[in-house]
Amino acid sequence: MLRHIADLLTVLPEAVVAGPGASEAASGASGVAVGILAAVFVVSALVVGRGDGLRCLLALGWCGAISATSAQASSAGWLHPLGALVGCAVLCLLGVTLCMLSPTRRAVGALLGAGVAFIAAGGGCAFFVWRLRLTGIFNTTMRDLWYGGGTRHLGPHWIVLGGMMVAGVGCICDLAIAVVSTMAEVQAANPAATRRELMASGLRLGGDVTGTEINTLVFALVGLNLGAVLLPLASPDVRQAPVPWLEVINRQSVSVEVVAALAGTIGMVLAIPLTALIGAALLKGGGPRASH
Amino acid sequence: MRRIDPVVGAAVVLVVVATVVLDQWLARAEYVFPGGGARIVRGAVVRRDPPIEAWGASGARRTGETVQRLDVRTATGTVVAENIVTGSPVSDRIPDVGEEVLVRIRDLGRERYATMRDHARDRWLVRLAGALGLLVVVVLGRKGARALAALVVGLGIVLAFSWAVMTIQGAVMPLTLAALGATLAATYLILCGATRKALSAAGGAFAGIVLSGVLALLVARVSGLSGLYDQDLAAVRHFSTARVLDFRALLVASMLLGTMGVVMDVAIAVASAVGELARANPALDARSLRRRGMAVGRKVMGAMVMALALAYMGINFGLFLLPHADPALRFADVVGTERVLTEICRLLVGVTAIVWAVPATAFLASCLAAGRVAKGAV
Repeated sequence: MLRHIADLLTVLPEAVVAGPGASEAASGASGVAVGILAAVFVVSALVVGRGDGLRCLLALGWCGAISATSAQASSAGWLHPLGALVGCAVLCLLGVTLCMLSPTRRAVGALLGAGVAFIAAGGGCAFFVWRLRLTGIFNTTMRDLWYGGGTRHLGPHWIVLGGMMVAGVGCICDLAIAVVSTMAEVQAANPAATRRELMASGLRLGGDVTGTEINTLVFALVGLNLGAVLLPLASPDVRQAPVPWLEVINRQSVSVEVVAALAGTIGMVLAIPLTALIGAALLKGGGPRASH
Repeated sequence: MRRIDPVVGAAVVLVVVATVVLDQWLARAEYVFPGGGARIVRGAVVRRDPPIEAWGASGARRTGETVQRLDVRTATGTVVAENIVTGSPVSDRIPDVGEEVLVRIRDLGRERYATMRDHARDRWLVRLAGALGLLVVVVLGRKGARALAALVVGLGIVLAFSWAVMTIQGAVMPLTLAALGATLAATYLILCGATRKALSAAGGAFAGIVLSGVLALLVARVSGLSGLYDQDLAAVRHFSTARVLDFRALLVASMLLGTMGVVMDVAIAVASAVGELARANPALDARSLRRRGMAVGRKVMGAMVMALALAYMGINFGLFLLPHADPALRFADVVGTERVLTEICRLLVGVTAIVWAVPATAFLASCLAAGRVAKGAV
């Protein structure tokens, strides 16, 4: 990874200095523009979020580093690609939870609830990858990986399956944290609350949050796949054959994103009762200190 | 015995009926090419010759090209379809016996020529969507039914937006803004009703998305992102009459649509918190409400940034592997390509919109809540 960073630091300034006529200049200018965008995000996160913004940036950096390390581990053959990606998802889950909550019973409740929901969502993804015959080669990137000598051995379907699992983990984790935090607040405000009352408050909060959260993964993946929505609606050129809508909706790329969005959302919905159940057991099992 | 809420019961019935109707409609659906000379139908494979394994070793199953003959039972009878197998998973589609496939049938006078096009996946996707709908309604009750309705309406608006873009073939950004505004308004109206909370959340989310959209347009222009690295958009550009479309604006539109779900979530959290604070303590002025709303927004923001980032990272995980595809390739060469820069840009635009939606919503919600308190509405 250090070699990659060194490469990047060497090439980008060269590209910018090369001037507008040089072929590398386009990538240099692009790099600078995207760098400015990144700087705007970092400054905004720190100004708006202050300490929470810093923690968010740290969590983002952690997840990026873990993803890059998983890619390195699987391409070098140290780990099976699915193992590397599941490990990546679990470490991201841990990192995000511990960044948002200090290591207390709340964090344990959120991790357990999110973990069980993650396993359920992962099982759903695995079933659909098998049932829909997803080979994993659904876009130009995956095709390049297949034809590239260094990554051909990985098995694209494992990468896609692992990627779907990583895609859902953030939303699942977010809901689990929200549910368990509310339950802990209720427990702190009313230490006499029963386990059933705590669970009910967790479920109520889950219902409130899910109204908008259910859109998160679906819209994120619709945005990524807007071209596939537009393509069947395009009037075909008279010299070209039309693109049949029946073929477009059955394409692998559409299936991958629909399965990732729906299975991840199912994981999110399952995370609510699971976290409420586990959180109530943990919070009521530990006496008055449980909520701190 | 606990009574079943009639609204929840009706929603369950509606989800089941919609799933069954859509599933059965797809089972009979066919696509007829203009002129009627060819059509695409679905059918179940009843025999394969030779019986090549469908799943297992992902590469080099066999060398050379093999023509596999499939007997496919369609709604109008059995056809023999050819399936060319090359041994590469890039182009091969090898079905099992009993599996549904799509077949293209060409009528050549007295003869018919059929080829296998792809596995039929759509009915399974519909069943998965139905399972999600049922789960949402059963676990979350009325709130779940409302959330589901809002999601369906939102997706309908995105479809209408796509149709409008392809019909008008211009004005991509105004149409995008209209689609964003309509989706936000419809979602919040369904979830919260016509309240100040809904108004402030919609306004704050819209402001955050539009501001980051302006930034995205600037970055896309400066960095020369064309939007055409996406295979589907490139196909629209090359194979349709929609050549005049502004594909860069479409790329930005796809970024903004992608970020909408997560921004909606942040905005409603901030607006709800400000509303509750104003109700709990009517003496709080707009400034105090804004400050406390920001505090809530900060807590929510981090989790939502991570949710969006992991969603994009997961689906695009192949990009992390790309530098390892060819040992001779430098990391910077890979990062400098349009596809990587586009995805980095998409992520940054999304997370920036989340961050900017927090102060925008806190400002709007505090002004509206303070106005209500001043009028004695609480």
